[in-house]
Order: sequence, then C-alpha cells, then structure tokens
Amino acid sequence: QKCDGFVQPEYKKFSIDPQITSFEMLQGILARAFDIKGEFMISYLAKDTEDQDVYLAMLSDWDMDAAIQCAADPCLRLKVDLKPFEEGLDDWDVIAPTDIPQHKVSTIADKGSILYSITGTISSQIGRSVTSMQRAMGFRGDDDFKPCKPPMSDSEFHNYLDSVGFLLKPQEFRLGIYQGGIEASLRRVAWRHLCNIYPANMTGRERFDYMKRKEKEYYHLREEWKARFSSDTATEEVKYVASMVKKDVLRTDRGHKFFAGSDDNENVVMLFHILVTYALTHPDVSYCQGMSDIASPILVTQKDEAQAYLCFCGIMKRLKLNFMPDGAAIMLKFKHLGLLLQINDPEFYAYLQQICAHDLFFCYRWLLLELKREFPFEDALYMIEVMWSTLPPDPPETELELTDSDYNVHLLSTSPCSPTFSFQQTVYAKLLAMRRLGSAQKLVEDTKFNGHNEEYDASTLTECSITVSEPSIKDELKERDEGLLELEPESDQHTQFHMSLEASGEATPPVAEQSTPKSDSGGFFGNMKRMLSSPKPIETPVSNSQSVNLPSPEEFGCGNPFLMFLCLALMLQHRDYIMSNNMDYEEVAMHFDKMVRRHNVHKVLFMARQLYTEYLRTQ
Amino acid sequence: MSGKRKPDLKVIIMGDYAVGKTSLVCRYIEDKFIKHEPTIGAAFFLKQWGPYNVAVWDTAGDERYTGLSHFYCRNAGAAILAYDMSNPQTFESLWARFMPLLNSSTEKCLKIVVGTKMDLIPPEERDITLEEGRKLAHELNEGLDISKLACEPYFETSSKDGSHVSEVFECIFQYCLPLSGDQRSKFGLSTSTVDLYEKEPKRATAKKGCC
Repeated sequence: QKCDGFVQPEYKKFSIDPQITSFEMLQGILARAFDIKGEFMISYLAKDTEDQDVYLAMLSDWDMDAAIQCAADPCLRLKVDLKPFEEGLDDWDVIAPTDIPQHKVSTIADKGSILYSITGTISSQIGRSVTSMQRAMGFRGDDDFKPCKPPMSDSEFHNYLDSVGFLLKPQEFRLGIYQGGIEASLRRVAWRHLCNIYPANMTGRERFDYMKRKEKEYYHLREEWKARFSSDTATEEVKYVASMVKKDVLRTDRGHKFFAGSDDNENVVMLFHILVTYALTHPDVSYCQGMSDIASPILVTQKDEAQAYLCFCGIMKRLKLNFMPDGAAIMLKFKHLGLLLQINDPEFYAYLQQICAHDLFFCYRWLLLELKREFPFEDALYMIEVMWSTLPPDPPETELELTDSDYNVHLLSTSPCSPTFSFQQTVYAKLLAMRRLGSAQKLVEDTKFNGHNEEYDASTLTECSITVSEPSIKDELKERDEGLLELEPESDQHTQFHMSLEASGEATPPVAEQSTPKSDSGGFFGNMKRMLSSPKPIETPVSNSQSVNLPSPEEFGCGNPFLMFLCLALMLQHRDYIMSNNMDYEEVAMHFDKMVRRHNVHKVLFMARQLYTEYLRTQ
Repeated sequence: MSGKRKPDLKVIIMGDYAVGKTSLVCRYIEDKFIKHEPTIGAAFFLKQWGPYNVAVWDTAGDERYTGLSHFYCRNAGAAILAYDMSNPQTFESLWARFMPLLNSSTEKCLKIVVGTKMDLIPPEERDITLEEGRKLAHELNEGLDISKLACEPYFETSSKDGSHVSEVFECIFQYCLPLSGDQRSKFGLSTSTVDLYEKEPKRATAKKGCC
C-alpha cells in the first residue's frame, strides 16, 4: 500500500520465504517494489492484548521473526512509511504580538504539511503461529506514549510574552516545551530562546535589532577568513580546518531534503561556513567530527546562516566540553551514566559487567552528539527541544560572544592559531621529512605519545588523547582538565532553576487540570507523573534512598541530567533483548549501532520523563 | 536466534578521518559504494567467512577519538590501517598516530596497510610510492611471523570501483583463520583471489610472504 499525501495508497503483494529472507533483504525488496530512495520504516500488523489491530515497528531480523510468527492473517501485512519531511517554511520572528501585525513572510508556498507516507502490504504465504509474540516489546500502540500536551503553538507561546514581546515566564515556557515539544512552525523562534542567544529582559523589538546587529557581526567574522582564502594568504592550519569541515559537511544528513542533491547545495555551503567560522574563531575547540551533527538540526530549523551560527554558538557554550581533546567531560558522563544504570537496573549492569561492557563505551555517540543520530531526523528535533527545555536558562550577560576571548584575526594568516592542529601540522611535517631521511624511528622513540597503557580507564583516555609532548601545552590541558571536573560555579542558579521547575507547575496555564497533589513534592511534577504514568510501572522502579546517591542536577551529566535519563531509557528498552540473546560486547555495540535513527522517540521520552521526575523528586 | 557463536576474529580498521574506512568495509560487506556520515566512536559489522564469524570494527578517524581507538584495539586479531592515497598526510598519520597504539596493545595482531581512493590519483602523481607503503607495512609487522601470509601486507584499493577490496579481507582471513582447500570449496569460497591480484603486471615482481 503506498499513499503519497493525496495520492491513492498503493498495494503490492509478494511471496517471501521466511526461511531465507533476512530483514535486510526484506528492506531491499520493499525499496524496489515501491521505488523508495530514502529512509523508511516498516511496521507490521499484529493484535494487541485487547485483540485490537496495531502496527508494531519492525527493526530487525528478530522483529521480522516475531512478525511472521504472529501474523494474524494467513498473510503478513506490512506498512511502509517514509519519514515525512516537515518543511517549516516560515521565515519570521515574534517582534511583538501587537506592534507589527504581519511580519510573516512565507518564502515558499505552503506545501510543508504534505506528509507523504507510503503504505504497503506484503503477503507471505506462511502458516500461523502465535507463540513467541509474547516476547515482543509490548502491545502498547505508539499513541500510548505520545505526550498528553500538544506541541507548543504560536498562541501558547504568546502566553509567555507580554505586549511588547518580553519573555515573562522563561521557566514556564520551557516547561511547556518539556511536556510536548514545539510545533514545527514555531521552532525557528522558540529554539533561539532555548539556545540562549538573547540576553535577558529584551523586548521583541530589541531582540529584532540585536539579531540584525549580531548577524552583521557574523558576516564580518566570516569575511575575515574568506578574504584570506581569496587572497591565498590563509595559513596551512586554516586550510586544514576548512578541508576537514568540507569533508564532513558533504556527508552530514545528506539524506535530508534540506541538504540533499549536489554538493554545491547552498545549505551545505551554509553549514560549511558556520563550522569553519566557529572553528577558526574558537581556536581552543577548533573543529572536531560530530560538530556537523550538532549544527545541522540548528541550520535546518533556522534556515538562515547567521542566525544558525548564533544558535550554534549558544549551544556550543555548553557542548564544547564534549569536544575537548582531553575527553574529561565525556569520561565524567560515562561515569555518571554507569552510576545511574547501576542504581536503576543492577541486574542489567551486572550483565554488562560480566561481558566487560560496563564502561558503556558503546554509548559514546549518544553522549557526544546528545542522541541526535539515534532518532529519525524530525523526531530528533523533538527530542532535542525537550532536552534543551530541561536546562536552566543561561542568557548571555550582555550579549552572545561569537568568538573565543583569545581569538585573534591576525593568526589566520600569520602563525598557528590552535595548539591542537598546529601541533599536528608541525609534527607531521617534521616526521615526513625525517622519515624520508631515514632517521625518523628515533623521533618516535623520543616522543612516544603516552598511549601505552593496557589498562583502560579515565586517566588513560585523557593521557593518550593528548598526543602532545611539549610540557607547556600539556600543562595547559591539564589545568583545563582540573577546572572541568569541578564544574562551573553556577550551581546556585542551577539549583534554583530545578527547584522552580518543580514549584512552577500550578501556575502554568497549559498543565492539565489540578487534582489534589498527594504530597508537598506534588506541584508540577506531581501533575506530570499522573499525566505520564503508565498502567504498568516500569520494570525496576527507582528507590528513593538509592537515587539520592546520584549527583545533583547541576553536576549530573555535566549539567545535562536529562540526557542521562534519555540514555538510560534507551538501554532499558533493549536490556531484555540483549540479555535473552546473551549478547557479548560486540553484539551489544552492533545492536545499538543498527538502531541509529530507529529509536522510537515517544517511547524513549515517555520513559525518560518518568525516570527524570523520579530523580528530581529525590533531589 | 539460538546457537549463535562468538566471533572467531576481530578486525579493526583505523586511519585518519575521511580516508574511506567505512566505505572500505561497506564495499566488502555489502558490495556497494555510498556516502557515509562521519563515524562517531565505532561502527560494527559481522561477516561470515566459511565456518567462521568475523567482527569488523570500524573506528572514527578524528584525532580526538584516538583514546577510544586504543580501547577498540583490544583483542583484535588483525588491524587494517587505511590511508588516503591522494593525501600523503594520512599516510604519515598511520605511522605517527596509530603505530604507537597498536604496538602497545596488540603485538600479535596482523597489520595490513591499505591505500584507499586509488581511483582519485593518477600513478604519476602519487606521493607515497608502492615501496614506501610496503616498507611501512613490514615495519608494522616486525615481531610477527608473516611468512605464512599469502601476500604483501599492503594493498592499494578503490572502494568506488571495488579494486582489491575483497583481497584485503581475504588475505587477512586466510592468515588468521586458515582453511583447507576442502573447506574452501565446501563453503564456496574462491581459491584464487590472491592469485588474481598477483597477476597484475605492476605487481608481478612482488615477492610472496615476508621479506
């Protein structure tokens, strides 16, 4: 069955031999049959506990086995959905609800709502068997996991603004997003607030003027390095960064319509500009693989290079720690996640210990990219905004910094501007020269890169990521490392925010009607718990006394505690499958690798919100 | 789902960013050439080879992930060290970045040096010569008896057109997971891949085995 918006669904019937058909082959067959070029999801028709028809996601060979065994008809019915593109085609900002009535410029005709889904039915002549369906991940339809609150709409957003566009209730604004995300058409505006690009206390008009000024500032910064390319005075380092970024933007989210097509797609070029400008104006951070994944959803949402750059700077203020060569922030996140898993699910943790996977290194991509790649693109946008909404507002004091404090434009054309890549350049150049002279072996002996410890722990990672032997640089890195572990002294602000999150619920307009809170810790989270509670509690409820042992919200997950719970939810949803299949380390890693862009955002957020609420309750 | 076995061999692929590590594995396992997003951490592939299960670990190339690569090296039976033939710096990286990692954790690990993107560079423009490549490959395997290796531990490949890609893996598997001729024919494996490679005029003088 294929439906393309208004086009008639298309049905096809096939025979497959379940003995020899793998899930991958099935995907191939479907792609050919319906002529699908991009990504698509397969779901199969099954009966839930109340004998209702439900479509369950088919993600693996194992799901396919289950599907075949539980097929309710003599044939197995499959539905094929192309992931819809949301083209939020709006180019606007809220200046003030009243003073400028129609600042809404539709750049392209409104075809954004065309959800095209291809639905297909395949039949395979197989015998019926209802046995192993019980093993399937549950009979709840996707709808059961959807948030109770609809995504934040334009009119809801206006509730948080006063008549001149001043954001009156930044915390309630975030709470509203936490509960249901943001409507695609509002994302562009709302994300700018979540990215902390505006100083506090600005009216709509002031924000508008501020943006115009910062956009100019961005284009000026961009011009500084571009000019050095056109006059061919850029240093090798600058060229190196640009080549590295180029290689990555050419392969970042190219399956998304926004970046699709030829390599000179102007959106790909914009992503390139953003990342190169950031790398060169932030020499300490420079460019690192993974940053293109962070910038891509921001650009897709903002659709404007300069505005996306501002948001990217706002986000990187927090996330740059992930990309520091010392790896300290990431290691701390691994540690916290391990602690959380150990407390929540000792059985699974023990299992991972047994297969030597309790370092959780298979979660590396999750932590580094904050789960951006784990969900289909549009779902990732939703997950990202919900996660951002849990972070305390962190507006710039006077205005957003677009460069590092030690950025010096003259370094673009004179001497190296980053210890990281200048080191690499000089050492490689030296090595190449010496090697060709045949005396290079000695140099390696001399520099011997610290990376020799068999035992693997945090300090080793730190040690061997630093491929630097000059004492000055190493000391500097070490200092930074130490500074890192004692997180920024913003704890007061953090604590206040988390507490007010807890207390603000009753005053929040969009929250469902109040029933009597059962304790004084009720308030917003009491409501939320009722709102989200499932008929069946999650398998291993957190015991309060234990989760007290978790770090406080301002420390946990390096200041992003909700990410920890998202990761925990991902693991808990697969723990049964992993343990029943007796997977080893490689298989666990491979299993999660195959789940890239396939996790169910509603299920994961549903569980993560529950776990997070429970955690906040104990803090 | 039952009766599965643990992998008999772990092969790890390392090399600078964007040299085409993932493309190499995908050309071999899926026989296709598509654009891959940058690998973060590592990606994992399983391959059945005759009666054996092989796990291929494809690692991230970014320098800042070297620490994790070190971890991924654990228990690897073979390592593919990939460099981009059109970018000599990536060859030096093998030597500067990856050799120290491998020496420490995997002495018994077979190291195969693989040049990628051969299709991009005309022979007369190459910076790294065949001899340099082989020299590095032999240096990397010092201390390891590679006399049983059916070919040079150095390959020049193109994942785009598929040149010499399966030879890399065949060479590794034959060394690490020896099969008798009977077993090979039983599992329908070709017995001539390495010979085909040797037939190329350019490599006709190549000696078999260790120098």
